Amino acid sequence: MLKRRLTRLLALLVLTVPTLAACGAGDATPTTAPAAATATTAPATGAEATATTAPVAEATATTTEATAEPAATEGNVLRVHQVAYPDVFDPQKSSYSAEIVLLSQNYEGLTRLNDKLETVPGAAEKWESNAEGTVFTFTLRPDLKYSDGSALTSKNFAYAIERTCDPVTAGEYQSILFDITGCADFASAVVTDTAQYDAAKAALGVSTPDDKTIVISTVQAAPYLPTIAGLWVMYPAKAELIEKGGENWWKDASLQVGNGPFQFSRIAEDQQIDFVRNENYWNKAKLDGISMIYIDDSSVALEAYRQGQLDIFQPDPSQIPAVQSDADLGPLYISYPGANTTGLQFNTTTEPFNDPKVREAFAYAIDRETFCEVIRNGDCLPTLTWIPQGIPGYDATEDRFAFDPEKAKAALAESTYGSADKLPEITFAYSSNDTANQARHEFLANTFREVLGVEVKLQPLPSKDLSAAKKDNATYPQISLGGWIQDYPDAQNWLSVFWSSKATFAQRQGYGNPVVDEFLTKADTSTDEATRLEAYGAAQKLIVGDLPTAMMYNRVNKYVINPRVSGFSQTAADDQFPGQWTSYSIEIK
Amino acid sequence: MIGFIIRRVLAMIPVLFLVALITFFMMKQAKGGPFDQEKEVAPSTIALLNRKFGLDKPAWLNSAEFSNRLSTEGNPFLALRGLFDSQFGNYLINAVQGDLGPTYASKGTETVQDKIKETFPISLRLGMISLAFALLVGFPLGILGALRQNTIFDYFSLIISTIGFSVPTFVTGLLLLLVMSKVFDVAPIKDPSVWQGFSTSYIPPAIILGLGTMAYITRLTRSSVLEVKRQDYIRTARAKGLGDRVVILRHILRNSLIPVITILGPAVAGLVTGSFIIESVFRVPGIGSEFIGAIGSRDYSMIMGSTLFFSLLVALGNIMVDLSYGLIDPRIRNS
Repeated sequence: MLKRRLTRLLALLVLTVPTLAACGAGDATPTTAPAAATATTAPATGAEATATTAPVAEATATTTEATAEPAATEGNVLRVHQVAYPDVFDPQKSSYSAEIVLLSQNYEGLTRLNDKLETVPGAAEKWESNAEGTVFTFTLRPDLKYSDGSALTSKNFAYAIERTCDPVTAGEYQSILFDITGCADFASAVVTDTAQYDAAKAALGVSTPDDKTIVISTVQAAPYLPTIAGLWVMYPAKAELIEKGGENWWKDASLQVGNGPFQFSRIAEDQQIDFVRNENYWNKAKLDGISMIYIDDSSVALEAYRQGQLDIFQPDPSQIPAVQSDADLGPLYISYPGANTTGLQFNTTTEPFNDPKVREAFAYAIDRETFCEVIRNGDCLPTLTWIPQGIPGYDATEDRFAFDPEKAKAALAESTYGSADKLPEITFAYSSNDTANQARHEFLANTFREVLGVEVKLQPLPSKDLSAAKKDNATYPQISLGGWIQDYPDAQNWLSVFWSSKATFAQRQGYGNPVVDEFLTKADTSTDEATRLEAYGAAQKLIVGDLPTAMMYNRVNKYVINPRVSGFSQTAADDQFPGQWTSYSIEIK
Repeated sequence: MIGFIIRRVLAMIPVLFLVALITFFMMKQAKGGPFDQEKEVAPSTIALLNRKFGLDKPAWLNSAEFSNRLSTEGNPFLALRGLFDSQFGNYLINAVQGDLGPTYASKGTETVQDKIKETFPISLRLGMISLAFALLVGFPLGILGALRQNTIFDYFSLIISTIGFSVPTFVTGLLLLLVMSKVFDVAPIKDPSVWQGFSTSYIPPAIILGLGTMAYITRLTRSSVLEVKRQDYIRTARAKGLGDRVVILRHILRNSLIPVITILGPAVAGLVTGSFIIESVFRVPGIGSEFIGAIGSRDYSMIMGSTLFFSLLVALGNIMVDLSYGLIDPRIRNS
């Protein structure tokens, strides 16, 4: 057996060696057009040079912009590993974090997040609201410019809001601005009915008294509006460039003229996206540029990191043990909780989970520590509450429903069913798209068998089928894993958007609690920050206690970072690279 | 000859229609739509998107629109367009005009034909190199194995083709990449511009992509040459005193080409449409990953477009094969 394997390997080497030699030679000798030749030689020399000098920044060697910075070739470019190439990075149409991270380098909203995820002035230097918290007046910084030197005015921001709410745009995140007066009406206007469409557009609660001022009014008090004003849907892409480029304008770096710390310089689909520093940004970045390098095979990415081609590498959960025990990589590996929460979601209207005691039994039965450390290789941290650590509203005191087999058995005995054998059949649905999910769900099923004596039936489904089933309470799985990924760091986004009885997410699980609703309404509309947090805290306690979901874990942000990189902050919202929200402060030695 | 080509091209039309019909039917059986995701989009926005992309219309036939137009216009022939104002009908009508529709993954900002135009040239180049590799290695190996049957050459040819057949590409691909990187210091990340136009970066993925075809060609050539070798006319050729060279080149090889050429049609179509795994390991921005990604994301127009495109390539490949038979074998040309 071993012999056969060895001959196979040998045969393969015999086969590949000649071509390898040809390949190495080819990289060193330019053959074709000069532009292509410099491009191919750069990575090779960069890789060979790592031992002695700083790697050459091959990323910015060729840029589509004629105005490429001479400084960019000095090697002060952060090379970040990204897993999946984004589908669309148009500010008003994007929805995934891999898309948003790009936009947030290129653009800046009225406000932005600082290294503690607090909302701080961005393009606006200040803002104020009326006493009711329904009218917000933002004042832009003086002399704001786009990266191309053209003036940035309040009209550019008004256009962003208008484009988001526009039914023609139909961006997936348009509803995030539905707090703004007239936005929901505009979004539901009939496009072909010109009169209605124009009237709805004109009724939008946004005005620009002058080039420095933008006034936004809301349907009801929305104290979290300044945070929303920093989101990607508010990024001021230029109207004339969007019109010029048509539907796919966003693929052209020269049309993505931005006002953020960096500026798109090259967009090479499925391969690499390069940024250069925006010299007109009010808080000039320290890096010369950023290169996002897309590698979906994690073994290839690890090899690229070892070859000195990446500064930041995102390991796959399956690679974590190997990375941690590696003498070189281990000390460079960091992980910290992310802005997401996953739990065991119950359908609270179907048997047996309409009985709170059964839900309680399952919540007590989950060994979250073992699950995260052993089954998920330390890819997550256990939690018992909803809002994650590092986000306003985090409840460090929550200790209910921690792993306790005795309490789990007792809860099941107290339920209307009385014992495991009287429970109806239970199906545990999961997405089969991620192959690692099988082992994870088998572990949980085994836990329920050992602790409660309950036999749950595992049901792997393609992720689209699972999402389709979860759209309606009638087809919602009895139990499944799921949760929330933050849109913006405000407790409102975590609690009101998900758990209010008016929210689709809560409705699907069949959850609604009038007392929770009362607290949420109070918190959402109060202008006093302390009152808000207190009311959100009370609501969260109730939700966790009602157990529509048994809270389980927060996935971590995990990276291997080259020691030459410094000055990055670590926030829970760093799901693409550490310090992504304050990238202007990152440095390379 | 021209009549033959026209007949074959016309025969492609019903084939492509059937492919479209079956693909559309199977696609509609799968649950979930392009805008269903774990993180839910507001129902009002989904309704907007469905209307924007015509997904609010009936899947097959729009009888409501038909009766509506019949009552307003009265002309049943004009009203027929209303009957086909359905997802499938509109797709076909647009596809015939060369518009394969918007990709839903890009929220409709890109079209399927743009995606094919962007990625296919790269896959085509990769496929051509791997085909050249498969032919240049597979064919001689097969001939060698047959002419020196049961010698060390034959066993060598057997080993190579067995590896090509049995070891999956995610193993050979990653192995090749790691060997290149660790032993020869070839960096895994290339500048994106290397894929625009031919470059040496195509060679490693092309070898891995061509391994299976190479193995198949080797085995097929070997058995075909063995069979021809035993034919009476070979004995005749030798008996009349022809040299080894002439016998092998003119009599044996030419006659043993037919089965190899037969498989080339579908093989070429398979090679030029790329492979998800190889594209992922070697970071080739080709068409293979677009195909696979579309199914998981229920990107209806991309699924339809890529299936039709692939079928078109297979059909064209088969026509080319039929034409080349005539060039090699006069018997086929005359029949």
